[in-house]
Amino acid sequence: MSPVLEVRGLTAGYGSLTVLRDVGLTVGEGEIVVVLGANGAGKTTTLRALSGLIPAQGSVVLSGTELLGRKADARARLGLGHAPEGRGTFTDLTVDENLRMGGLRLPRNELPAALDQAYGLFPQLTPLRDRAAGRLSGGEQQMLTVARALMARPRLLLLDEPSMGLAPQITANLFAELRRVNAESGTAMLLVEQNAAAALTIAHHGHVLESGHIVLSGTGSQLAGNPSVRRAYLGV
Amino acid sequence: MALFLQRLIDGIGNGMLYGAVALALVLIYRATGMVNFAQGEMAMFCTFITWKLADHEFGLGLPIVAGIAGGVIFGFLFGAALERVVIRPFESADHLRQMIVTLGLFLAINALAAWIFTADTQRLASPFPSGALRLGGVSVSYHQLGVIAVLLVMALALRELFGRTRLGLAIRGASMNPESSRLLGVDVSRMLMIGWGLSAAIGALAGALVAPAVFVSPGMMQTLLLYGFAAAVLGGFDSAPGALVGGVMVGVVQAMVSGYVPAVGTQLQLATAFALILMVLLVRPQGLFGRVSVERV
Ligand SMILES: Nc1ncnc2c1ncn2[C@@H]1O[C@H](COP(=O)(O)OP(=O)(O)OP(=O)(O)O)[C@@H](O)[C@H]1O
Ligand SMILES: [Mg+2]
Repeated sequence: MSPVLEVRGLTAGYGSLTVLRDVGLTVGEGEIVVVLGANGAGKTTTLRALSGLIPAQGSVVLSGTELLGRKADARARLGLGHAPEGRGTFTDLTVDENLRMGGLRLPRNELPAALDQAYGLFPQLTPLRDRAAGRLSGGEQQMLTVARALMARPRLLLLDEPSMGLAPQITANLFAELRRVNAESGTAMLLVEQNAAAALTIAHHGHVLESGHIVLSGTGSQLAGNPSVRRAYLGV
Repeated sequence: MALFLQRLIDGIGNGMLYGAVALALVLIYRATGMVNFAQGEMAMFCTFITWKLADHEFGLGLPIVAGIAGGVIFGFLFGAALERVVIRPFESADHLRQMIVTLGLFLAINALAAWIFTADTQRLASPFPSGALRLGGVSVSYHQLGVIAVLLVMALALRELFGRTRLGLAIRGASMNPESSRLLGVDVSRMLMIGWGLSAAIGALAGALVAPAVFVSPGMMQTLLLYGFAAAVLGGFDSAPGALVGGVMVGVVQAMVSGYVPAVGTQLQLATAFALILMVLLVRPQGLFGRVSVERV
């Protein structure tokens, strides 16, 4: 089966500063792939290059379609979802409207079910439906960003440190939910994280990114057992 | 008392027009963060189109309602085209440069209208019957009533558009957070184009409704634009309902001041608009309805 995402020789940066050099990775049908890396390793840069927010060289193929050279909104319409780092919410729109922004391209009759699903995923958001997203806590905004990206039913969902700012218990729930969405709908996911302990429990494959290079790759359990990963990311 | 009511109603009638111009300004400001100084001239140009379509002597002689519809449709396309061709290259420029671009547009459209159409003053018929409704000592012309009704309907339609439709939601989202909008598949440039189109269409409507009173000429909208600015500032510049309420308040203040303060008369009326702008900016810079953004820092 051909992969959902195939990245080869991805090189990207900011102006004259090259941050990523020759990054390659693959996300298979229905897979969750995690990229681990320290602060400044280039995780966010990787996702921004994939979704077209910054220019890049190399090749990025989504389900057989080359993405490089297409605008970010066109890539999204091809089925690429991206839950950005930090607070990418529409601060003056309500929680409900934020989710509807995610569902803009759904057939109208599927919208109610998708909204129910989103609130089912994060019940904490239900009582906040009519509140402006800018008035949510950091963790609540994080949940909203993930739920909003899922509303669009992407083929591949890019997740930028979804655990950031969440309590350990909420993080555990979030990852369990991501795993469930993945298992139920087959949505492939590319997850970048520093929280290796949580991320590796749900990952099929993983890579370690250092200074814009992939230095280590393996299955989730291989990485979890790797001594240098354990030292650097698991604190053991 | 009758005189007071008369002035109140005149003020509301004019104020709705200021409100419409303010709404057009606010729409572009909200969508792009840009203050469009060319708003009035764009409306004037569209009103000339209406005149060309409707005038029996110099134009096609269509019914005035058809002429206005044509002017409004032209306005939408004109606004969208201006965004695409003139504004988009400056999409990521700073606000100072964007404002200078709209000032340039102001001059260019003004000169173009005089060249293409005429620099002379032309008449435009009202779409409403002539005559007036008399109640006691107060008389309200059918034109005034019609203007108020049409602009109220327009305001409600816009509220539906932005509050209930997907397109409206996408336009609001795109203006608030372009990057997240793109990640959700929204073509942000197209939303800006539609925002400019809508704004110009509203201006075209306001132009056609004010024209029977002020006539059609290249300078016809300049006073109205100033009152529109006063209304927008009063309403908060980023609030659509605020723009309309601000417009009505400016209209009423203007009618009262010129009616009851003889020294102001007609010559100094513009100064009241200006004084109002200054006062609001001093006392309540966010206007009456403007939001202090709720973004967490
Ligand atoms: N807008 C920018 N302009 C210039 N350099 C940038 C920009 N954003 C990031 N960088 C640089 O690119 C490198 C990688 O940044 P990136 O944001 O991809 O790291 P990250 O792995 O996501 O880190 P974190 O875990 O802190 O989010 C860093 O050295 C950073 O300084
Ligand atoms: Mg990052």
